[in-house]
Amino acid sequence: MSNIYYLPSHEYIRVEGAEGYVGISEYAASQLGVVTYVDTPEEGDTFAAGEDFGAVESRKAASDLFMPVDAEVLEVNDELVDNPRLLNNAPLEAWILKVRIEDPSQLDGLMDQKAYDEFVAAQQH
Amino acid sequence: MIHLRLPFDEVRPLPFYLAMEEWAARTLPVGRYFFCWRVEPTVICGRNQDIAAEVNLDYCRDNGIPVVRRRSGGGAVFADMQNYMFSYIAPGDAIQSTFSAYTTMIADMLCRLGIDAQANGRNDIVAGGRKISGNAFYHLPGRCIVHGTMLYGLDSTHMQHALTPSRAKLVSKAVKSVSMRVGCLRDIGLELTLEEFGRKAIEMLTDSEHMLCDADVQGIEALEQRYYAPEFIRCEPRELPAGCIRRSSRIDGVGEISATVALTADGTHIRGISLDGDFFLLDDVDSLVCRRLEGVEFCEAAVVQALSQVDVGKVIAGLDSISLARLIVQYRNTLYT
Repeated sequence: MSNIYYLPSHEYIRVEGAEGYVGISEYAASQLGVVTYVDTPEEGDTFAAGEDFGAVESRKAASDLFMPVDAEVLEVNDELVDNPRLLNNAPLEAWILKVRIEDPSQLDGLMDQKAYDEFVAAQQH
Repeated sequence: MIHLRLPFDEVRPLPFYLAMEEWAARTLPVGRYFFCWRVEPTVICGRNQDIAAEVNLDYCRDNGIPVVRRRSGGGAVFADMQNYMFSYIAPGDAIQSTFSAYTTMIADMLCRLGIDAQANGRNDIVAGGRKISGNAFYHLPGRCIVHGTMLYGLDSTHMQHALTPSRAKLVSKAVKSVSMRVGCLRDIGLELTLEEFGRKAIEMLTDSEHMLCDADVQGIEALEQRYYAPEFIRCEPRELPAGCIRRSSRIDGVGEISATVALTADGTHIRGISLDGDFFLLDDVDSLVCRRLEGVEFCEAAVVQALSQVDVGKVIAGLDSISLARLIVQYRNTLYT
């Protein structure tokens, strides 16, 4: 069973127990093009579901980042801060934040992989 | 496309218009919207730029030129009353196609006015070999904002002095070169006055009008305040991430180039590289140049060798692999952080 969930704004959260890894989808990475900067919060910051927590900038655009669920930031992916292009190479592996999920029931309101794939397909028509 | 019209003619500070775009994207029904505006002399920096390194803050302060930050990406630009700012709001998340459709639409409009303009693939519109419009993109969920300059005339003195990206640039030939690389519609044959051009652009690009009301303006003004927040403007120098270096130089016949290089922990090899500047891009610099340098030893010979299969001058006009290698590798022992 898939443990990855998406927002309509193309962020994902990959769930592992009570924790999650937040990043941007392959579709979002492809639309942004070469990523040049990732603006991230600090460890210990807390965000509500849907709240913007940072931004990603590419050669083409800047795009806000939104938190999929109520969460506390446990870790920022420093490797990504140093080399933002990792987001292009493997967006599902290059997570931006590791978070503590405060309310797992909020995951039910997100899209699973199948629903997200259909959402993206619909957008492309 | 719908023309967004304000219920007044006065010129507002630049953040008002950035807020107007954002307000339109966040609150208006799905659709395509356009408006154009002008401002008193202002410098507008990209979302993640180091303002202290990009702008001559002393000159701006002494000349009463506000420095603001936008939410879109890209580099610093100068705007004044001889320049139109174009704002475009469109639905969807398709950044690449929305951006290219917009720049193509604007270039086509200019062509119909007798200007031989083209979108150059790097977010710019060029005519007569000079950049007349630079554009940037801000993506919100389900909405796209594209905005940019449209140089009708040019106050090259302010532009040159306000946009001095580095100390190196101040003492190089950069000041002269900025105006050489930028062109304006007035000087390349547009036979319209400034005001006529603004009216014509709206007429050609839009087919209906939406007049904003006082309540709309109040909503915009509320959003505008976010653009004045010190934590958003952030003028202090931003440190590079550990393990990264940035080298900037002006290369004759090419322009200003800034290379940001991420190195391996031992500083011997390149992990990644990005190139920015006011050079003319002829092809995809990331796939043709930057990616070839990933994993390459951080020395001039290795960089030149890695680029031996690509004609660098056909990617960045006027550049060769040796000049690029020297830019990247010079000071290798003093700048590694």
